[in-house]
Amino acid sequence: MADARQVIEPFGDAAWRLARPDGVAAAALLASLRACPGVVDVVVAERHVLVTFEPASSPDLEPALAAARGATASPAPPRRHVVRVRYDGEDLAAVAAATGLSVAGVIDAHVGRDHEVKLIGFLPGFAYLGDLDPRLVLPRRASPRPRVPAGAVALAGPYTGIYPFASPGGWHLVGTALGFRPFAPETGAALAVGDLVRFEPC
Amino acid sequence: MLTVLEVAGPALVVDAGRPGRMHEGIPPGGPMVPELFAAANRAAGNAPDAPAIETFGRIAVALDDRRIEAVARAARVAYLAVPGGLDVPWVLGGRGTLLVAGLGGHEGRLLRRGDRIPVGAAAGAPEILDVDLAPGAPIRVVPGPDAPAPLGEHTISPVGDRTGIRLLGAVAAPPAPAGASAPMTCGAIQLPPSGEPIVLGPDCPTTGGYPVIAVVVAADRGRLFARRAGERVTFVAVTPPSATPRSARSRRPPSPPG
Repeated sequence: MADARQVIEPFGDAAWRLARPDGVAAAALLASLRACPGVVDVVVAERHVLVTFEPASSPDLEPALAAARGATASPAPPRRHVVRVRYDGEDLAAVAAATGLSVAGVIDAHVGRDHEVKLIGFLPGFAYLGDLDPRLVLPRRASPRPRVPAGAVALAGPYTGIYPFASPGGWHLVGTALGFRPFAPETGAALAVGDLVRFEPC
Repeated sequence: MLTVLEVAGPALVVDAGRPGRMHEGIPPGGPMVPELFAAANRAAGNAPDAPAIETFGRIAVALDDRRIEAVARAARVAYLAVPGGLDVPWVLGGRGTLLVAGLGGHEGRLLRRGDRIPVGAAAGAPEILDVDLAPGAPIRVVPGPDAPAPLGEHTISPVGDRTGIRLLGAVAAPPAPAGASAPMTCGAIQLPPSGEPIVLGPDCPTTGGYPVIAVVVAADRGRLFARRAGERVTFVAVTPPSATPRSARSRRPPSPPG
């Protein structure tokens, strides 16, 4: 029953980095910390969460962390998104070869499940979608492409994702998202940590 | 209306930034050198955070019948502010350019010759601020959190932009794996496998995989980013002045009802 110590490391003089507390939902953590007085920005990543604040201020995170634990105990239902994908990625055949699946098998493995948004980063609106079928887990490409087109659906490591902008990238391209913009200048990122994404072939 | 007459090197509209959206992957942005940005605005009679042009080279504009120039000579960047500020639209809580997303500023992009940018109504009286960027003074860093490594003297590399600047002079650090994607901020000093550190800038990605060996103190970032390629920089380790982290105690989640 002993209380676990929450590890908080200084990240310069205007941010702290915390180890992700066990058993606390990412969405609840983000919402509670963003509402915490004195906190400017919050980034929830795989193993860490970062909070930024004005230098020399010292926000009290304890009530927010407690609120996040409470919210995790009775969570709101996650937002769900269905993204239609044309499976025409340049690396589709290579992914099939590397995984030992057929092309149809790769597609089946990609569409058949909910993917939770584990973190947002790398590019504005770029969501790292977890819960990838373990058979599709591959290392990144040996050499990144100088330009991956906007809307490309790709996978690498335990993640799949949709490129919001044309950008260099080292993930394996399996398809193209249709009718879905991961980022819009008017509204920002379409996905948030904790959301569920299901791909649908077309 | 302001018209761009000549431009050499990257130039774009910046403001004080759009904080509060890092969870969407949107870096806060803001000027590379806040001290020079504020001084340019005050000299034009504006609030210190009015939208203005940041140039990494040289830019000349026409305003009414006047020609105005800004040249990044004494520092890596220079600012061109006009009375009333640049009247560019608000996008996602800010007015500065975010190049990677093609939003904000003037059409979300670098400025080109012939661009015409609206100007706001002239505001208050000009004030000349005395900016001292202390070119030889050390830059304060808070060591860690990943792999604290001895940062000493380095030289500013020619490679750099608003996402980050490189330093020449390898840092000896125990090999740290490029780990999971971890949160990043402006001022974080990442150590890629080459051993030559990268100091992340105002438009850096909000996550990254290289270990962070130190983070530049917020008040010293402008002085560092002002330095030009070939200039020396000495880092000095400090503990954060008042930002001593609280060790919050975790609590057990409440028992489910019933």
